[in-house]
Amino acid sequence: MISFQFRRMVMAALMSVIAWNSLTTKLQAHGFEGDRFFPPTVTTDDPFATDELSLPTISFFNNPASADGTTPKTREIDISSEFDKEIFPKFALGVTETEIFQKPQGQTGMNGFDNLSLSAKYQLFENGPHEFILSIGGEIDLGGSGSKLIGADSYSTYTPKLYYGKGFGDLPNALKYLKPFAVTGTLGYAIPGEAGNSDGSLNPDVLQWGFALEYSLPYLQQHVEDVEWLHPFKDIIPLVEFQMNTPVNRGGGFTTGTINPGILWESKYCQIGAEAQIPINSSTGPNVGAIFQVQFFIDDLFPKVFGHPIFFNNDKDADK
Amino acid sequence: MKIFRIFLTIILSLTFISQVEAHAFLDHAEPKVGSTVVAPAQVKVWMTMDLMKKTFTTLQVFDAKGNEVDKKDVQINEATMMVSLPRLAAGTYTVTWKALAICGHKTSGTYMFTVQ
Repeated sequence: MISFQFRRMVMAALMSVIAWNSLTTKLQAHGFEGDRFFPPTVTTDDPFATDELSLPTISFFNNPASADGTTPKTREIDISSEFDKEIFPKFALGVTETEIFQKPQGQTGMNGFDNLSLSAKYQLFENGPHEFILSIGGEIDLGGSGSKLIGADSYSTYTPKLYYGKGFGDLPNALKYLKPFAVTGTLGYAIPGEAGNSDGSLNPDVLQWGFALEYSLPYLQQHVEDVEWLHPFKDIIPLVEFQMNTPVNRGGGFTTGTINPGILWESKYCQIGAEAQIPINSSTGPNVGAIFQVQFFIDDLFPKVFGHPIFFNNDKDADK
Repeated sequence: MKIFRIFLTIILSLTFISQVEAHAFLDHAEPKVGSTVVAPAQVKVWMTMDLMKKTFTTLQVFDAKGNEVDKKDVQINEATMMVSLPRLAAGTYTVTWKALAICGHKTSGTYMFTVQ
């Protein structure tokens, strides 16, 4: 009941934000530093506090059996959605919800919502000529808001985070074919609200680190050299994402994570991403998984509603 | 399954619509991005959407020392911008464009070309 009421409150808040926001009309571009467009990445969060909507992100992955044999290998499909809204200039709030489908080997399948996740992000430092951005923020996974059936934690987890992005367009011209490279990443420290559980197991703090290395063919085409490729090839950004979790205390065990090679394809209204998920060790998973994402550029789709902060919109140039 | 089909239809519709309101990016230019050419009489850029003829929208050409060398006679026509050039000496030049798209989104960018 608490979970249902909370979701209603979040939906009501979102609708209020959209309604209020529709009263303003001034617009800002999304995800740019200098010449660089940093695309929203699939598994690691990007550093921009802008209006974003990923709907949906679908991942297919096999979880390993537990070491004590109590839990068998489990096939898992996650369908999630994230919505972020710029509230003040360079400050955004976000909400993420995930529906999880699990099928333990030899057992009946089950599904349910994971804990609701809320996030905040502020763009702390930017340097356009050097295509650099540093942001701070964090996430809260609300304990008890998800389904116990799929193992949603009963406690909340608090994760302060650093976000960064750096494009290499400032390299000398002798290295011009390296200019389309860029890296974005996050560094977070997840602190569980409860150190232990009723069954005696412990909840470790976890260092969450990840980054994406990308090569932007649009950047190559628009800023380095016109190689005269046609659509859709010149709209593709090949990338590799690294998503890692390192327990730091309470016998948390090994680092787990995945290496995700894939591509992003940019269109005018949305971005479509597809990546393989290669587990780095047997503690992560026994097989290669896959993840797909559709990211809508809602500031382009609904320019009168999105693409600008709700409060203190200082962008006057659009009115000149 | 029905939801999936509806969702797929929406995505495909959004993806392949041709008349859209989105950010204005550089589609191509003359002289071409990163090219080496004989002294051109003008620089012309084709953007991915129509532009607003307002103060933010500009096209400039700078020499290697950062001096503006164009004739400051920018012409904007739908999705193109053009500026005339005097006879340029051999060297590398930087083109800077700023675009205010008809939907109100602002973008900017640079590229270089070399004169033989």
